[in-house]
Amino acid sequence: MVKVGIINTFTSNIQSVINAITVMGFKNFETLNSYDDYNSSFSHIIFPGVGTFESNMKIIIDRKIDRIINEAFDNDLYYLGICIGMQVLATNGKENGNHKGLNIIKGSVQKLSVSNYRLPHIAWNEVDITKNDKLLKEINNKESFYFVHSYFFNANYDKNIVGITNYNNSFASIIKRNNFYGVQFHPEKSQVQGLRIIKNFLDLK
Amino acid sequence: MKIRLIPVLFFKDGNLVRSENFDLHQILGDPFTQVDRYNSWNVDEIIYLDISKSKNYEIKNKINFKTKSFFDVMQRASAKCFSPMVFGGGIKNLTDAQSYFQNGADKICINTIALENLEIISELANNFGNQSIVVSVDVKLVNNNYKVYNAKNEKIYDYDLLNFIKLIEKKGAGEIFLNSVDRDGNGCGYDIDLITKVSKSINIPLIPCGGAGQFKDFKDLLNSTELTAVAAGNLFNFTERSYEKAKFYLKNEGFNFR
Repeated sequence: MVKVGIINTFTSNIQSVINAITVMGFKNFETLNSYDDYNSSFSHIIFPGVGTFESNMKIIIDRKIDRIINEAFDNDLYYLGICIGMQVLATNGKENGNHKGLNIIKGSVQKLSVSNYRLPHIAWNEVDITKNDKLLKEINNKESFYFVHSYFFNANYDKNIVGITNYNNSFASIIKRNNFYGVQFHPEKSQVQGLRIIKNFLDLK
Repeated sequence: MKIRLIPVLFFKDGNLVRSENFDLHQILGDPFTQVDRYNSWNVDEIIYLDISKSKNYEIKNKINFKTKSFFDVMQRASAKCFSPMVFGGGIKNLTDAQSYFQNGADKICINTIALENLEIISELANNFGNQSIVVSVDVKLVNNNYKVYNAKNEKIYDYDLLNFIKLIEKKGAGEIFLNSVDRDGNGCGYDIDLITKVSKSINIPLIPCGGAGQFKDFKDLLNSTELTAVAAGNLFNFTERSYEKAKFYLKNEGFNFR
């Protein structure tokens, strides 16, 4: 039985994620404001992202959300981190200084190097699929998704990279370790192909 | 780099309205039908602004949707929209901004509060990330000089426009939504001179608006200055499938659109 826990940091566009999972037919979800809301009944965790690395890590520690994520990893739950929800999985983040991340997927969150491109990177941009994965079932290569970010996940190991995107430089736009996924774009706001990714994620079992 | 083509919707006292020179407002329809249509047209993004003068309006619309709260409007407008939505209109502080994000906003658009206190931009950016903060700047020509205009109290500020916009960028805005008050609703083409000047002075994305009356206006603008987004209101409201037709036209002209 699929039961989705949606982490609410009060800085994210959580309603958009709720709208997306609802329209895909998943009604069994709860929001998780802190570790107190967490229990063993969940099968999937979604961490929607808006906000900065620093402010999100502070909220994560203050509300013991790190315990939720670590327990989810240890228990092989399915996790989808969107934007900042992907970035906090890194070893560290270099937005406004150097900050420790959850260190679940080795890597560092760094500012995009854009030369004379505009920053933030706010655009529909293509994802090159570098590895076949159940998350990308019925998703064509080079389909466009909505990006809105200035920092990217610089993964230490290629084995964690499932998709890449180019904005002056290439960066990892989909990452994975075991049942944990991170996407830099916003599937909840990427029309049909984004909703398909949400559905694929919630279909994982 | 794909350019975003962004329809803008103005909400006033319970209905969507057509705007002309920020003044004349003609009712277009209920607050939701047009959003549903844009979603089915697979638009790149929607900017949805509450321009009601008073927040104690009595809502009157044909679908009998009654509420005193713009949050209820946002909730319902965004519920079945899977293109990014920018909402704005009357955000005063962090608590308001948080409520916007909790009710369906993917990004927020601020205007009056930023004109009164630029520091709010940094505060919002520190909490929600600069990529989710759009600052709207309304520009009016006064004696042939571009001036910053406050639509709420009709005040004209004596700032140097380009310095002011650079300051907004420096304070942490993620994007500038630039409106040309004199061109609003006129369909006589974009103010290319203004847009070029602003575009060259900032490194964050610029979303210019005001004046698009035909598809050629997009082309003329994009040929004159390098942009990553362009917005229009009325043009998309009155012609059936106009968004799709505009994209088709622009792609045919060789521009990079989705």
